[in-house]
Amino acid sequence: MRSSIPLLLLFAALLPQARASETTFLLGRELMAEADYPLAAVEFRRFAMETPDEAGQAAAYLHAGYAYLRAGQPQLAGEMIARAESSDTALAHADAIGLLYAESARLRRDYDAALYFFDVLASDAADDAWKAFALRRTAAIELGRGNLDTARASLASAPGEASGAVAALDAYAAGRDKSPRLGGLLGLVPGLGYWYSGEFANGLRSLLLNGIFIFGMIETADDDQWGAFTVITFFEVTWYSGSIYGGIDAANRHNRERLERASEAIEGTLSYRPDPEVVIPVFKLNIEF
Amino acid sequence: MFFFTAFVRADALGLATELMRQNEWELCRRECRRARMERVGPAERLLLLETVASIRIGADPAACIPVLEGIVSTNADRQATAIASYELGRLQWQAGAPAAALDAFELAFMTTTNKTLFLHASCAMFQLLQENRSLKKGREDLVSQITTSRAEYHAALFAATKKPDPAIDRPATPSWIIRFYRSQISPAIGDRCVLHPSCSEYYTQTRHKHGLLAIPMIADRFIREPDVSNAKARPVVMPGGRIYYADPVEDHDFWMTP
Repeated sequence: MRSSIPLLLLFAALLPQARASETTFLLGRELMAEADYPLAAVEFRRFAMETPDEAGQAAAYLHAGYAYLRAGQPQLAGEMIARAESSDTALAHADAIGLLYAESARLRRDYDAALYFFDVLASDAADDAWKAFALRRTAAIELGRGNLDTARASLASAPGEASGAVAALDAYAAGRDKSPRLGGLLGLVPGLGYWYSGEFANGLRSLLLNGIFIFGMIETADDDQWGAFTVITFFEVTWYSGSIYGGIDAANRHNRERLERASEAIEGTLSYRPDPEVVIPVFKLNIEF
Repeated sequence: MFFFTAFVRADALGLATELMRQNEWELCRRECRRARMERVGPAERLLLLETVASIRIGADPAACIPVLEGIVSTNADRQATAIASYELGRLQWQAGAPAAALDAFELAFMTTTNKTLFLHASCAMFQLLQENRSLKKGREDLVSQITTSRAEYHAALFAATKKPDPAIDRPATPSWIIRFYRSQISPAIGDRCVLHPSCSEYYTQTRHKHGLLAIPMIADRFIREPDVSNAKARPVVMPGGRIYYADPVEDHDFWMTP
């Protein structure tokens, strides 16, 4: 009986600590649900530092890595995932670690690394949803690099229905990018650069504004009103340079939007997030349709 | 900030130190404050980290100097004293007090057991003395000690310890024309821009990033504004509940960077 008293005292001392850690984890989950990702990541890291359980630490670091990915901080995400990977329990999370690494690399625009991790995931994952996710992401990356045939091959080997994605890829291949250089050259004629990229209302506004100010320049010069001429010329130079810049920018935006539309169709509605049902500190990543 | 790695441990201070290393200064400051309020971890080191994080965020140096002086004068924790002294030296150098800065750097140099901080303090003093040669008088011993570590200086160390220039880290400041518009014109005509950031902020950011190219970029923005607001593609709800539409600079200069 006497020997059990110190043991009870020890439990009594440790219990609030365990509760505090669990509260930290739950707070992280709540912050993540509220899309406050950087703060959620800090709570998960705090939990990882407080808990003595190695499996809990790895899970918390994976949660933190996911939160940093959602916050758009791939470097920190990579650091957290590496910590989880160094744990003895990492094997249990091998697929999730591979997927998070791939996403972290994709956000950093390290496409070689992202393709490597997606490739491993596509060949090793047991679940078809994970394979489909990896292969569709691979296709989108290859499309961005201009490798349409490789993108098509990835889609062909992806499990599940991919006809919509293939159609989007075909539509992209059939279309043509606009040349920013030509857009800029056409912008020398006010509004024409915008029209070239299909922005007709912007082109009309540019033409009207430039026309009004050029008219003002001519009129003030005719009347020898050189003060007014200087002021109007200053504004006209602004509008005119804006027309040239706008021609280049509109072509670049057009190309990016075209690529993004095709990529979104290829990636489909597949997404991933930690299992919301998990309330104890473990990490389970779900692929969702 | 690598000399803070001396603080690494698995508690609130460890987390705060990591956040400092990752340049997450606001979160680091919050973590330190939380730990100090909960009385978890060494208070002096937490206060030092919090103060340094505040400096990085751009807090008023005049408010930070007394805190650092307090840590140095208490001298309860040798390593914290050395770091506080180094940071104090940088603030005083920035404030135009080179003699006081030299004293603070010297204390850090003499006190620290951390080689990185030792080299930082040494290189900072080297550059400070190059700039203020008159301070060498009567300090021949110190100068000769600095010279002994001269061989270990490298370009990154020189860059990290050069005279602090607060303008480098400061966010873009509006030009006089934008300040004039905001103070005199905008109050009269009301908040008309429905884009986020506002056109004046957009111009300030582009001028900071691209210099003269800001002129065609803002003209292009004026041309596009009706299209962006009509499309209502990316609404941003502001704290007052008013809805703006996102049109960040990054959407129009992404093609300029590789």
